[in-house]
Amino acid sequence: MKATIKTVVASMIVVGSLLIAHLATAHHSTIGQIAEETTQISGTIKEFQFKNPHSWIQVNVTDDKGEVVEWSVEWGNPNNLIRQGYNPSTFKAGAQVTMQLRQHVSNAPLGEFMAARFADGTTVGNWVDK
Amino acid sequence: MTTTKIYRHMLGAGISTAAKGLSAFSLGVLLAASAFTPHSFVYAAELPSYASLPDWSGTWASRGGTVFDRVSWTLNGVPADATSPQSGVDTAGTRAHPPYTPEWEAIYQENLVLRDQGRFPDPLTSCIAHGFPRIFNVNWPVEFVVRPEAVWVLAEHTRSTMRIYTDGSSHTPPDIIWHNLIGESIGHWEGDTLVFTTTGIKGWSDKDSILDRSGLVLSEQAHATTRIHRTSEMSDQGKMEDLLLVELTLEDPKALTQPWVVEKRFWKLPAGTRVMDYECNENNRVKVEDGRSLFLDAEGETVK
Repeated sequence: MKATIKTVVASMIVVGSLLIAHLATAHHSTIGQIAEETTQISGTIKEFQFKNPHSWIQVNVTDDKGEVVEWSVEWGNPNNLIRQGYNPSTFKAGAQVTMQLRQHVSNAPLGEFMAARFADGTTVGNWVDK
Repeated sequence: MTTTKIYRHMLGAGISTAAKGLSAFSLGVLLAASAFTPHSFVYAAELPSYASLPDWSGTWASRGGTVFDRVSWTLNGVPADATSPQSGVDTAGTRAHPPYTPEWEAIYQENLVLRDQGRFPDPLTSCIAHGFPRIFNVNWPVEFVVRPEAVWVLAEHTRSTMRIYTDGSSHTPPDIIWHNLIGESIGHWEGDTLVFTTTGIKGWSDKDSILDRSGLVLSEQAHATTRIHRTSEMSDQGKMEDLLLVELTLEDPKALTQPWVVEKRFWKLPAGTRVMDYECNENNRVKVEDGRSLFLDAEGETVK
């Protein structure tokens, strides 16, 4: 898995850097008002909605009360994600993941994807150790 | 330029030849159908050969800002840094702020306020295709299919397709033209430059043409002359790169005091870059209420 991710990252840099830089601008509305600071959640991938206009990662997170809350984490559109080396299997249902995101100002379980780290230590996005 | 005479259909000069071998019934059907032939579908003039047409193959995309008016552009209410790619760079001879009449300047200023409140009704939020001229104002991949009788602009974003007829067609008269999002484009070649005029455009509200998400609008009387040619320039990456230079001259007797010229550069993407599918309605988790974009949570409820 780690090698796969490294390969993807290398491909991104070598082949797609220009493309990424200039196609990254999302055009459809994103979730709008989001917090400046990063929120970190840990849970299980329920579903990766690899669909337009934007992809959504659904994550089941057990909260402090022991209840499962489903988070909706918005990511890029599938077209640009594919060009950046990702695919519909980047987040597999059932995978354990820790995710860094910027939460919607309403404090609803809704946010903009920043990065993720899987149980084996591989990461997606700009992971920042905390 | 080498030309080949091709007839778009079998009426006019070609009809006697075309009629040979046709039954009286099929000829009748043909003639009946001609009664519904749109104005623009007269038989074609001289068409250029494929060999004489420029090579615009590959995939292209513009860079930088996706708004026409970079002077007034703000990002979430914050003025964009003039040196940032979001701001873009004005080219000599062009201007960013449209030369509006006082009445339409007031409309624009109202829209700018709505935009900064996140309440400007951007059609894209509801998955409405961007149409013309906005098709030239997004950063997504585009293909230009150059054919003798037409140039097709195939845009990934919102699956927009634009057909520019170069077959000698004329525009549909203004009193009967059907206004739609992409308009009617008729063009010709001046050497390797495609020159075309676009009429019959409109916005999603039937009242105006929305040019970008900044609040820029024109009236239903807007029309444009566009020139596209292939060239190369020193890019912001510091190297000479191929591009298609798109120069739009927008005119609007109702909203503008003078023609408004804007330029867009479509840079060639790495070989093998594909234009992919984009069905915006497949999973649009945005709901527009009172001009605001609201988002649907995992239960399908709006988050406010």
